[in-house]
Amino acid sequence: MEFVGQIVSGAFGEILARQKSGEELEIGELLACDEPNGIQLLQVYDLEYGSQIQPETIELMSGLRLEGKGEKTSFFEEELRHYVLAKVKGLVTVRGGKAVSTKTLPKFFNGLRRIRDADLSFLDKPEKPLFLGRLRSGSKAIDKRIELDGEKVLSHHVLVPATTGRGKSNLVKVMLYELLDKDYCGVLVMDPHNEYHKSLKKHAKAGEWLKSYSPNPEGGQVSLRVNYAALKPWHFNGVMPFSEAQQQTLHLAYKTWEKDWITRLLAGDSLGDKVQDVTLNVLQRKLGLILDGRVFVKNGSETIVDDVTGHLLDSKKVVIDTSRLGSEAELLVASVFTNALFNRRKAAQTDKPVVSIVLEEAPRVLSEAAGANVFSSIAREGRKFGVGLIAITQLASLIPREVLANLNTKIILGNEMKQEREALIASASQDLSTDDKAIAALDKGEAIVSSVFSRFAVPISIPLFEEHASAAAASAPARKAFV
Amino acid sequence: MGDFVFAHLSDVHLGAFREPELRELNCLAFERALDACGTADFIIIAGDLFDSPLPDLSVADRAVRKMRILREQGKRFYVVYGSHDYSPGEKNVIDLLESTGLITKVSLGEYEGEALRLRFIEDAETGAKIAGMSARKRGLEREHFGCLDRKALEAEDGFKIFVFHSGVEEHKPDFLKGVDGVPLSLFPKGFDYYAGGHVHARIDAEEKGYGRIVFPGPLFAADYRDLEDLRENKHGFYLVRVAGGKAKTEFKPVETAGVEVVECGATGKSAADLREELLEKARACEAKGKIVLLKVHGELSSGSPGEVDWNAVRAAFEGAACVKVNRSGLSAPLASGVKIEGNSRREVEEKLFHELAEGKWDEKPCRPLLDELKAARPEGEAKQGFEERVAAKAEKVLEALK
Repeated sequence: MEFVGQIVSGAFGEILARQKSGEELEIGELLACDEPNGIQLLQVYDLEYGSQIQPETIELMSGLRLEGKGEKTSFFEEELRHYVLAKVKGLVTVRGGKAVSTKTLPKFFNGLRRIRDADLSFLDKPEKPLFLGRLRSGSKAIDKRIELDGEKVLSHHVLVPATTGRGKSNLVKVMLYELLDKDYCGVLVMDPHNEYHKSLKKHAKAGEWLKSYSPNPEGGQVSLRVNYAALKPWHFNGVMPFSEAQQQTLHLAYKTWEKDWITRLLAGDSLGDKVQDVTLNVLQRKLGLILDGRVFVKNGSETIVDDVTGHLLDSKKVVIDTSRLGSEAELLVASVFTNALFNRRKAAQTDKPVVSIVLEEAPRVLSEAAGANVFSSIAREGRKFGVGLIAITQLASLIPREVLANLNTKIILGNEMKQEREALIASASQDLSTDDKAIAALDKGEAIVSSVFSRFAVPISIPLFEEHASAAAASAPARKAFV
Repeated sequence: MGDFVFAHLSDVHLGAFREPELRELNCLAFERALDACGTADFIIIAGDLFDSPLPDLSVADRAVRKMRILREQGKRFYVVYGSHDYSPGEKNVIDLLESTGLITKVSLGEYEGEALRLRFIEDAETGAKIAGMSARKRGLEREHFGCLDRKALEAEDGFKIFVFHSGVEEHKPDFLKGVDGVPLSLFPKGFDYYAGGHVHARIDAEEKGYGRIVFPGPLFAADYRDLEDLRENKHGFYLVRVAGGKAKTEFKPVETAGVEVVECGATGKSAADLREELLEKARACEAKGKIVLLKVHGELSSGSPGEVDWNAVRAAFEGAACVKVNRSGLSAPLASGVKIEGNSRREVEEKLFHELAEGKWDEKPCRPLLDELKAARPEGEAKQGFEERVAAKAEKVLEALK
């Protein structure tokens, strides 16, 4: 047996193991401990030095070497006297190929070894898989795909928190690429950098499963144009602030002019004595700024909202390029499609296929300051109707705790901000209280997945999208002839 | 290049109806349209000239006779396949007409690597350059659109016409919501006229960077919805005058017969009562020379729809050019069916198998068997070979169960 360490002391959740000389354990490394009734899988969460020599003696030896009075001095049988102590915690116990929560300490003085493929047989591929990456032990990727039950994960919301440059976009691209031809889910992607269409169209089945919209369409994208008639007063909730009087005027205009309400408001038509001119003028100016005639249009494109919601309910992946839109216009587009989708889903009284909405800078609509809107409604009750969010953010701490707790899968990428790590640890589905250092130490493309749908917080390595996509595309079918 | 005129027709759907009277009206509409093309130098038919790849020969004969008269007058016909008159891997009526020299197919091109390069046909007399994309079954032409070498098409100079038979995603009428079209971004830019077919609605739109995108809609009608639409809207074709390189469109309605829609609710009525009410409505209707669309819906209190004497009802619309009955929404009280709800076709199919099996027979083979049997024939594969291949695969599924 190739042991890399041995349990020497500790308590439940904070076991101390001595590292074997010549081995190098890492924070986040996965270890296994063979027990009579199964295998305990453990993870290193901290490392420290240990020594059998008194500190004063070690310090003296150091002085002799540093000051040139004993360069050749050394400790007798140094590998026995100095060592590394690893703090490890139990993740899960595997019995008969099934994983159960760890409730016992491994046998005292038992040896620890690195995990093997056979230890991971319990990580089955779910029927409706959502691929997140490969299992990671420390900084080493293991050839084991980590796939959670996509239908459950997506309907119960996903949070992707990370600071810039830690691989958020890469992760979402990989997830979407794998999901593209899965018929159990539709995904609406608000794409502020116009990067997902270019990436996803590399998929061999993009022609069938990918629908893209852009204000400047190219290469198969459809023009992003939303007819004024598709807009409703509540679409502006969470998008831009309106005073109470302005809100009432929006609703009155809609009630009075129905589908022409925006056109009439922009034209400056009167609503009679009930509304002051100043209110109308302010509304006209505010709406005029966001409805600039490029994306929101008076004529044409009457079918786009039904088309997009239809695609989503047909399990297609819909990418909306918002790269040239302002933040408010982007949110309004998202709000129009999301409201239509959520209403259709509620009316249909069904929760399948699950539909997920990918939204960057999610605190814009999920923070307390954003007020009530369709996204916060989905965060609270979307799962009943099979509608979920994939909320991407650098600042998870801005999302209220009860909403954070509702985002039941968190794919935590590297984050150097302590406040953000604390918010994530406090709302994670597993106890990550010892993982603060591990999160801070995550490199680009490394993540920890904490989910109510996984047995333990799973360390993953996310493949580089370009490599992942080109490997998958190698088996794409040949093109047909033109007849 | 001088000034010239061309006609733009689409969705003629000759041979579309079972009713001889409607077939006749359809042929009549085509003949009248060609009569109205007197000033046109050439005629574009943007797909679905016929309702099937191998239409009734009497219908085809009549169309050919009329087209030949125009051809002898020196007019040229430029045609693409529509979704109805295209058949993968087989010759069809459009190919036959081209072999006789009556028409010219304008969807010419070939793949060079990944790029589909279309070739222009130049109309010798006017200098107009025409390129086109035919339809495929179930919208498969979108794949070809995605491979178009648009830059090469855009680089060509002169007056250019792009002929196609597909819905344009950005210009879909309301009744096509949820139906996939081809995004404008897959079309080559800079053509002077985009001659569309397939969408059964009249559209004439100017699109920045592209040009005029025009759908004449059906010349007459191909189905019940078209006939209903005919009551509200004129159907016809476009005459396009090109002067100084600019195209100006004029819609030319084609008159055939008026349309009268008669609706009758059947809920709570016996079959005999319904019959009486329908006869009464028929007698009160001014149907002479018109197409009557009789729509009956609801659940009878007693009797069955078959007990209504539909022939007598039809006959009661005196002088009607045709009476078309739509009773798809009519049901008998004891009619039973299997009601299935599902989120995808696959789910509905699986639930249906389960429902029908009722545990009396093994439903397991149904799914894989259906998957094999519903495979579409790839372009270029001969029908016989395809059928044999599918049959072999299906047999394999069944054998695996033994």
